[in-house]
Formats: sequence, C-alpha cells, structure tokens
Amino acid sequence: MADLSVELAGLELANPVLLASGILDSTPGILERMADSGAGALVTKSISLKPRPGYAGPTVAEVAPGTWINAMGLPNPGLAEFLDEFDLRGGKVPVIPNLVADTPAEFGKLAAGVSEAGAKLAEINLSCPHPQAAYTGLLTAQDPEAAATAVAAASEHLPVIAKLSPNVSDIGTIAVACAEAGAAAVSAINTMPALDIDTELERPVLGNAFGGLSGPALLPIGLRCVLKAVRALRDAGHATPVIGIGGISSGEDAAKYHLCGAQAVQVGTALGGNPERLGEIATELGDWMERKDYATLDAFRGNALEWLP
Amino acid sequence: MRPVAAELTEIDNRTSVGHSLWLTPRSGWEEQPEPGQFVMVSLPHPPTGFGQEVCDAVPMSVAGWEPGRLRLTVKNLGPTSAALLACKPGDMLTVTGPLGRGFSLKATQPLLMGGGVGAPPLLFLAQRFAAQGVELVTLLGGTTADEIFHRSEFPGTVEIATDDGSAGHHGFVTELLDSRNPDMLYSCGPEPMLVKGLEWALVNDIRAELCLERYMACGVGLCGVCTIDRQLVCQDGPVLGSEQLEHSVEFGKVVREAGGIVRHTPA
Repeated sequence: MADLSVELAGLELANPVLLASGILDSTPGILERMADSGAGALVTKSISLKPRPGYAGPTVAEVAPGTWINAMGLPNPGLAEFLDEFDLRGGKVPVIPNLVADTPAEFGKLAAGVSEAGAKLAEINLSCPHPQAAYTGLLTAQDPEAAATAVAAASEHLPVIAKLSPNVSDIGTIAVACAEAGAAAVSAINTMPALDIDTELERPVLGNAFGGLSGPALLPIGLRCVLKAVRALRDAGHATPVIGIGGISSGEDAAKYHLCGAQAVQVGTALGGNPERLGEIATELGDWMERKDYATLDAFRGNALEWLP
Repeated sequence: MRPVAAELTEIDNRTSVGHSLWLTPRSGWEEQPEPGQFVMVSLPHPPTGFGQEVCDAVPMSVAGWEPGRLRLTVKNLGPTSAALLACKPGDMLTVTGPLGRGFSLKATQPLLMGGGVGAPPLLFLAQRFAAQGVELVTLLGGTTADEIFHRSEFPGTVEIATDDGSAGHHGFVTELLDSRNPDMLYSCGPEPMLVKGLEWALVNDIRAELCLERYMACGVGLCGVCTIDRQLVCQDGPVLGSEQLEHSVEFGKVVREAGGIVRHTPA
C-alpha cells in the first residue's frame, strides 16, 4: 500500500486530497459526510464577517459536460453564526476555514476569530472572480501588494493558505509576494472568470451575469499555474507548499498536480452529483502510485519540473 | 444541466391563492420526468411592477408533464412566486431540470397525502399510478377550501380536510390517516404534516416516501445548503424514504435560509 500521508503547513493529513471551498460544505452534516468519504482535510465555504445571502439565481450552469460556471455570491451565515455551528477543532479530519474579506483589517478579524475557535490553519480567498455583484474590478490576488497585505494581516493570528487566481499575468510573482508576507502555503487556482449567454433570451445565463469556470476544462490551466508558482517559489528560495486546485476528477489528475510539485490538492466540481467521489480520487491516486512503484508522495512530487525549458 | 429558456404557454387551475403554469422549454423535456422531481425556475425578465429581486431561481415540484412541456403549480408565498403568478402567456422563464429523485411508484395500494401546495407533485404521481391501473386514495388538506389544489383532477378516491371546516373534515388532514391500510404512504406538504405522516407510517409499519422542501441555492448537488442531516435534498431527495428520515435530527426541526442561516422550526 502506498503511503498517502502528507504534512501541510503543520497539519498531518492521512491523504493529500482535500475538499475545495464552496462545494458541499454549507452545513456541518454534509461536511461530516465529506470527511467520511475519505477527505484528507475539509476546506469550508468562504466565511465573511457579516452574513451574505448569495446572488440571485440562476447561480450555476453546465457549459460543457462536467464544466460549469457559477456565481453563488459567497453565501454564508457570517463569522459568528458559522462559529456557533461548525467545530473547527477538527473531528475525524482537519477543518480549514476559508475566509473572505474586503480589507486586510477584516481578514485579521476573521483570522483571529477562527484561530480562537481552534482552527490550526485557514485559507484566505483572495481570488473569488465575483466578490461583489457584477464586480469587474481588480481582485486582491491580481495585485501582489494587496495580496501580501491581506496575507500578513491574517497570518498574525494563524498560518494561512493564500488562494490565488489563474487570471493574472504572472502567478509566480503573486505566489512569491504571499510567501514573503508569511503565507504558510498558497493554493491555486480559483475558478476562471467567465460568462455564458442564453441565445434565446439574449442575456447572460447566470443571475449575476459573470461567474467562475470550474470542472475538467480548468485542469490544464491549473497545472500550468501550479507549476509556475512552484518554480517561482523555489527560484526565490521559499519552501512554501503549493496546493493544486482545478479540474481534478480522478486520481491521475491529482497525480499530475503532484508531478508539478503540489504538496496536496483540492477537489470541487467533480463532486457535483457524486459526493463520495472525493475518497475514490484518493484511492485512485494510491493505485496510480502502486502501479508506478512509488511508496510515498515525496517519491515523485515535482518530477515534471525537470522537463521545463 | 443548465437553465433553459421556457415559454409560458398556458395558465389553468386558477384559485384565489395561485394557479398552474404550462411551460414549453426550448430544449429537453421529451422524456417523462419522475413524479416528485423538481426544477429550478427563474424569471429573467420580471413582469411589470416587479423588481430584479424576484429573478432568483427557486425550486418547484413538477405538477404535470406532456412531451416537451411541463406544468408547475404556484402558490403566492413570496416575491418570486408572486411574480410567477403575474406572468402571462408568451412570457419567458428559465427552467433547470428535471432534478433530484422522485417517488418510487412501487406501491400496489398507495395512499397519498397532500397539504396545501404539496398537492401538485402528488397529482403528477396519482396520474402515473392511474395510468398503470393502480387504485389509489388521496387525502388533501388546506387551511380553507380554496387552498386545496387540483381537487377535481385527482383520479381515484379523494378526501378533504380543512382547518376551518369550509370543505370536508374539519381539522388536519393527518386525522384522516387512521383506519387506512396502504402499502405505501406518499406525502408532500408542510413539514409538521410530514412529521405526523412519518410517525403514523412507522407505528403502522408502512413505508413512507416524503417529498421535502428546503432553501436551495444551486439545486444540482454542488453547494450543500439544502442538506438535511447528511442528505442533499436536491440530489438524494427531494423524496426521501421513511428509513432515511426516521432517525433524522433535523427533520421537522431545522431549515436554513439564504447564506445557510439556521432557522429552528417550532416543535
């Protein structure tokens, strides 16, 4: 049996396949089901200081088989009610709260709140493509200085993962800025900003018009971003781990991210209609390692990097 | 699965609290959905007098089907349903579906129990049973006579209960359950009624299939906000069997609003 265990920013995980933020994580009950399905860790939906009801629907649309655009609008009950309901001390597997805020000060408050509630690690969402309704401005993750400031504010309270956007000219620069600001890890990628049009109604399909693309179409984009982030961090002398996200629907997809140097991965859209798929992906990753005769993740992590020009 | 433009082609079954809409989607719906399945409906162009806030996509049970078109029965319950009721033939909506798991149609002596606007999916179920030649009994309840939906359309035996006694039995529809001996109870309506129905079914060792309602944001098993215990109402349901609900800690007690905010329902 291949050993799938991995250390991630101070957490010891049984396997590197994590539940991604925003998918099947709205209630403690569904989160428990995802833990039992075999998640290495659970990342919660994005939590803001104040409650957010989410955007008007339609919130999701499948644009190609398995590939979706969504604009949920970061629905969440706000920090206080979230902390009342969710146990961050971790039951069966570690729970990593995902935090979203408009300012570094807010990120600091959120980080302090979840740290006090027992979280050992948080992910900060710097990269939702639609943080406000019909938003078209710059994302935090599109500005190295803004990203660094947010990371620094949250990192005062607990180790943080900075979640990055694929929609940047050079993700390496952003990853290095986050690492230098004290990020314990970076995760990439968030959904790709996208739009779909209904030709009958001659208007955007989603209630919020703009959304984020997720699913298999995102895999090659995510791999490129992760590889670029890994290399930039390495070149700058940082050992900051990178978590690969985007388009994973099989164990081999997860292996691809590890071959690009990822420390762990997150899975989201592939679980739509099939929540138990999460654990199966971890099992398939183990099968792939067996077939390749790898006893540990370290044995092959980053192998694809040496082929780069 | 994606929202598909659908033309409102016909309105029927008018009552003082709502009516039925026949929708013709621009694609799909040639295959028969299961009774109990639902759609996410939205209003891309709100009718005159309504603002953009009513455009939200909301889950609604399928009340009937013909190849290429579906029927929804709408009760005036909130801003989106009020706007749906203000739509006129020729107006365009969007529908995503059919979604979720419906009723099983396995019974040979089915008993149907509907409360208020829970009747529409049961009508669709009753029509399917009737088409298979199955004899059925339906119990319909409402606060008042005008809130009994589809009364005259149900095949088989129909008995009525109203809270105010304006039609049928004066009292709750669950009071009509005693002395019945079906091999399955199918029910849809207010959750306190479903709780009573489940209790009755468990005591009498009868299997029940209950169609639940929860706030939904995506409707397709991606977000999880409709979870009851560990089950996704949009995907594992909306029809859940008695064995899935008898040990539930949330059934009849916890519902959620937008954002996942918990609202405890009165015991």
